[in-house]
Amino acid sequence: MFSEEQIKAYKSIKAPERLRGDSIGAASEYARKHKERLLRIRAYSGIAACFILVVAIGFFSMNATAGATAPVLYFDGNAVSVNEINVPSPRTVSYSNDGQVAVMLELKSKSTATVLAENSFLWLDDSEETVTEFEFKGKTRFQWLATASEDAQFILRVSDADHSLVYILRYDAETLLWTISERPASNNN
Amino acid sequence: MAVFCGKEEQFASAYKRNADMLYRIALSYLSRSHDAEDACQEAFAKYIASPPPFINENAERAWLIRVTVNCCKDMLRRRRLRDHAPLDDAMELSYTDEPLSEVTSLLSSISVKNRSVVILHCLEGFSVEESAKLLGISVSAAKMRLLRGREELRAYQNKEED
Repeated sequence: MFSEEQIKAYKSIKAPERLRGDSIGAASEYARKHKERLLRIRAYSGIAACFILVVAIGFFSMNATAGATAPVLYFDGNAVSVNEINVPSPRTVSYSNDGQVAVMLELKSKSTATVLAENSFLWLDDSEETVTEFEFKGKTRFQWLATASEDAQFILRVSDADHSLVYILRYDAETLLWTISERPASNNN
Repeated sequence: MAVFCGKEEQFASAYKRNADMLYRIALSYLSRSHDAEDACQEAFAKYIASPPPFINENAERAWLIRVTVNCCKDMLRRRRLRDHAPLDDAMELSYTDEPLSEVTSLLSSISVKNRSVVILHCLEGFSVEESAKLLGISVSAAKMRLLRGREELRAYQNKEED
């Protein structure tokens, strides 16, 4: 393939004298660039790690919050709180001649919750029968049925794995008004 | 000198052992003396700046050859992108030494992929196994590249004779 003469000529090639000095000169430049590149990579890695950390914290805290969110009872679009709300609106409440009241409510819960009515009944939107207890997850609409009597008070218990809430539907015989409220947490048990 | 980190002697002996061979390899690849110098310079600069721990001189030589060959390939790639060889560069190819000029023209007829095995085996005198090890490829791949390189060379020689 290659003649002896050609190989001999090839082997006679020598590196130029200046190559050694030039290599040393280039080394410091290379070391500087290498260091800069390393610093840049470290900076980018740090930023990426921080970003991942922030995203992870956000994700986990969101899940943790979601898990800890208590069920919420809505009346007429408003969350029922410890402050009493009058329920006279014909849009949300229907009264019958025998003094029965049907309060339209909505419940939201991110975890499975149990709803239990004491001395009253519940009527789910998609059900034909009244019940005193049901389980649900997500969103549900139902009517809370109670019959008016002297200063009557009706209890609705909503509980999931972490929370236990108590709602009170009260009838005032003097004012003839129905009110709904949440029992303060300290009294919930 | 700060850049050596106390490894000045190591570099001096590595340079003495390998500089001529690396320059020849680079020159065979690139056919231009200043490009060959740049490739060797880059390889030695990498060696000085961050020398990997070598088990022996052979491992050191293999590392330097591989780095030089990679530098040459990069330079050829870059050259292909902006291939406007100035006239004085083109003139460099015509060596005064006729056998050497023949060697470079023969090598330039071989594809870049196959050239390194041909250089190491046929000109530097390494066995096929050693060449494969130096280039970090399998022995069968080295044999295949050598075979193809020879075919390319033969085709070029036949064409020249015609």
